Amino acid sequence: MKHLITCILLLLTSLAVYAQTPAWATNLSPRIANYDISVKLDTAKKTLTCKERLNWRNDSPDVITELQFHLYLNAFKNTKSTFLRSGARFGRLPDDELGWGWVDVTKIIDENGNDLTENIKFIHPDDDNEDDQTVISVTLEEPIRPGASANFDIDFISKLPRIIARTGFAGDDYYFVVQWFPKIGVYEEAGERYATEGQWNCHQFHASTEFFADFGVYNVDLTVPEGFVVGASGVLKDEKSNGDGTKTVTYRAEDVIDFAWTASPDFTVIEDKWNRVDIKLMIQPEHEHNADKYLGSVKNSMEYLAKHVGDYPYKTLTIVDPPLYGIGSSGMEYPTLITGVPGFTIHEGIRQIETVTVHEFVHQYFMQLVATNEQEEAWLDEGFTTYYENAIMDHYYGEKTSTTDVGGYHTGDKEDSRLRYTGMKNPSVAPCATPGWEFKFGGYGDIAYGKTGAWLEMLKRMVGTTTMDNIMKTYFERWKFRHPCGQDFIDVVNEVVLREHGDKFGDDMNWFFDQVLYGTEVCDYKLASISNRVAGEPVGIFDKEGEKEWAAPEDEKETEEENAEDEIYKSRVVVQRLGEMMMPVDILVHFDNGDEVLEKWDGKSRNFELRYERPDKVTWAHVDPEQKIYMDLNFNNNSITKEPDDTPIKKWATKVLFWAQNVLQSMFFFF
Amino acid sequence: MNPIAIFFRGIWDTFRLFKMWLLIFLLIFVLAATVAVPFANVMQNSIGQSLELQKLLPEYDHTVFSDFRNVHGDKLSGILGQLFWMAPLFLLFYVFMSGGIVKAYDQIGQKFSFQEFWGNCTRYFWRFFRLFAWLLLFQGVLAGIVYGVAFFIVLGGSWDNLRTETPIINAAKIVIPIHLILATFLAMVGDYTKVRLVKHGNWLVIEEFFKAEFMCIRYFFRTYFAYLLDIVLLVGIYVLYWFLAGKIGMASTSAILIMLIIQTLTMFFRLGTRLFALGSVNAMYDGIYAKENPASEEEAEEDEATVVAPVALADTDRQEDRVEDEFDEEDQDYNEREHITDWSPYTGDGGKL
Repeated sequence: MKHLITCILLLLTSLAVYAQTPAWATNLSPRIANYDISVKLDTAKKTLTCKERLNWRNDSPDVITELQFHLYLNAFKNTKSTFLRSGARFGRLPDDELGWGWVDVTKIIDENGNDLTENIKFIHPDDDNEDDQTVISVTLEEPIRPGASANFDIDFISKLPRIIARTGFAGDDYYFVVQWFPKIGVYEEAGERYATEGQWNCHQFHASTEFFADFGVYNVDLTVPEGFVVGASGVLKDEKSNGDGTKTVTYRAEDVIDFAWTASPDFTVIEDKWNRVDIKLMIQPEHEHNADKYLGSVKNSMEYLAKHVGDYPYKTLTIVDPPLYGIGSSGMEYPTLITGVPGFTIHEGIRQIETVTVHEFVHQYFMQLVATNEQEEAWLDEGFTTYYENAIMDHYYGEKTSTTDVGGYHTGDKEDSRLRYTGMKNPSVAPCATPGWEFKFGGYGDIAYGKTGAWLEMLKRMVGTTTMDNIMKTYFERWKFRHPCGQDFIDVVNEVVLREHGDKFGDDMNWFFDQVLYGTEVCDYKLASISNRVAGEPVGIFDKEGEKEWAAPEDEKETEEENAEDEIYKSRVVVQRLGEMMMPVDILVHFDNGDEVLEKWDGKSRNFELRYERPDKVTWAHVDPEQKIYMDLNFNNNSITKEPDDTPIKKWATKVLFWAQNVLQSMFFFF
Repeated sequence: MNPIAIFFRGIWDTFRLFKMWLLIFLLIFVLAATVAVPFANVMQNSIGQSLELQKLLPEYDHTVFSDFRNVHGDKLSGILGQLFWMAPLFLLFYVFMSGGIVKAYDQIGQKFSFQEFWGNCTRYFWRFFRLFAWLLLFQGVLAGIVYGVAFFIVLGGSWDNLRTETPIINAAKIVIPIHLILATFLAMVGDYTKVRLVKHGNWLVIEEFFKAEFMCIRYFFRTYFAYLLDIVLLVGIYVLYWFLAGKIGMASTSAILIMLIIQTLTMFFRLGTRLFALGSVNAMYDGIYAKENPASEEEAEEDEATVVAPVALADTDRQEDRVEDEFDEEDQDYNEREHITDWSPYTGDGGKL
């Protein structure tokens, strides 16, 4: 009986778990868009001749009558593309025909043999640019029913550009190949993310936006010259010589949203391992001395994220170190493949390689595993990545020294990110939640990266590290291998904060996101003044028993020092809110006997006054002493002391004096 | 003409001109103070009462400094802008002073007079300014040639050929030292030209430059070695400074005061190395001239009891010198008073080329 009960309980538990688990639980992801592609690289013409078999599943309740694809290489076809018309600078334009890139779909046939090639038309969902060819629509001959899958055979030729926006070739033999194949858009059913009705989400390629795609499995055969070293997303399954001076390497990438690859005869491959993850570093021979920087920083990232977010589920990670002449492909993230930044290490304290490597690896979590729409909500990937890049860099390389530590000059990654936002000429240029292509007046990077990183740090400091970790872990576990939107993250925050802090921050945290995410307000609290006055007896004319009586001031009450021991002081501390953003803040007030009082303020009124009447004077006061309000534009005006010590000023003035003399004397060194 | 002895002679002569040394240093110090004092005032008036200020005491704090810069950047830019304009103006002023400086070495042993110093500054300014312009041109051309040649050798004249940074790093390891050697040689030739311009009163700057250059080439090792010793001394001063700065730090008022003294001494002796170089060049030139002109050496010995002039020059060139100096009668009188005539290693009695 006991065993029977146990068995029933186990069965019920299993059913409960099963009920909460997505239908695709046997795989890591829903595997909506799956590709088998064979590629032949022509190194002379810089072309890829490809055959693609797309298996696409209609995961919506809608009947699908058209497909939409990204053809992003066409962004580099001519200057009429939306990408190049934006005016964004990606180096000089090619001055020869070979430098331009394009992709042509030469044939598309459905699984029933219907030739759909004639049904292809270019569409422009984001603008009126008739000349942009980065998105196509293909009308189907036979609709795809809900839950059904369909196969399509697509022949296409991709002409690689000279590297621009990370993709293309450099020199004669360095290839970094991304956004190279017709990639199907994401069909969103009503209620998914922001869709009010079933629709394709397939944006054009803009200079300031990235990508959005469904999860799937990629089986890719790459035929390249025999001497080339190849790296790609996923796992190397096979490599065979074709006997004609070429070889074919086969990669399989499961549960990813994209496929990128690189080939060059110059790579040196260094292999390493972290737990069960095989790490492959494809490095230029002249940069081999940077191997430890790459490998160390990526292993630090894996360790940190496993602890604070969740496990890295893939078996491989490939890091590509581009050559200097291929620098246009540096600093980018693709599923299980990232690129670092080429550099000759001048000083160990300059940690550009580590910073970029950590950043790109964090993207494996935020955009690859939690596959947000990078185009519409860049803050969800770039901002989150910046937040963890800051945390990892500061944790492993020092809070104030993580990015630069040279000759007494040092900077931390977190403070760098904050300063990226606070140092903007106009930090109100646009809300965080602005789609990437609508940052028409600048600020995309500073807002999406810097501001989001700052307010995530602020959120952590407000709710505490444990709660923040729980928020991120919940968000990650709930939304990995799916497509969350900003509101999904907000929902998680509201849920976890309410659970762990009750109504300490109100019924929800929407007031927070309304300001930091959807608003353009800036935050600046200022400790405006401190005054201490001897609290004497009232003076003046008083009515007493029908008579007017004059109470004279006592002698020399203003001489505070002489009467210090027995005087009572009326002290006043004034705090001001200079910005429009309102955050609850603490105010620490310090008295001359060493007492300290921590006051709370909801931060809403323009001015806030604290009054004390006690035998001690206020010596200093500090609004937000722990710098929880990390978006505050100016920490320096958060405090005032009545006993200022100008020693630091003397120090820096002395330094300026020294360096000014050096500048002047350097002028005549050669004359 | 032992370069080491000449090097020490330059130092000794400079100490004998301590007043001049101090004057130039104080000028530089005061100019630098016009940057440092406003900087301190801006700090005092903006974040002087902030508790954050204390974070700047033990070490640099990027957040505090950047917030300071974000809010008060306009004022800081104004101060830095002042230095930006002051530096080239000071260079011109240095060019102006160079005549007085070199003449002071030429008259070493005589009582230093500020009045005479400023007078000599004025007297030689135009010639020294033209020399400065030529040196500026030559240094520019030199840099262009050195790096241009390297660019063509390493990259074939096109950045498109750049495949890795390795050749640039490797080339830099070779090209930068070569450039520094040639640039310091050019600077040294400039210094010898200054000495010649003062000693011979010639107005033809470029002619004196090439005469000085030939002399420096002919006596390359001793002239350049003596000059190099001053550069080595300069490097040593900075090594000592960084060592002391690392040991002392600037985290207290007393440490700041000590560092202020050390920095001031560093700057004083940095200026000193420039003056030592001019003193050495002056002494080396006299030595070479005496070697090349034994007769004038004897004459100089005879004169030594009465006139503490550097070295008397050969009478044979006096006529030529008069022609060259016909536009500068004042200089001509000066030359005759001190028995100075032209000399060149490739002309006249002293020519041994």
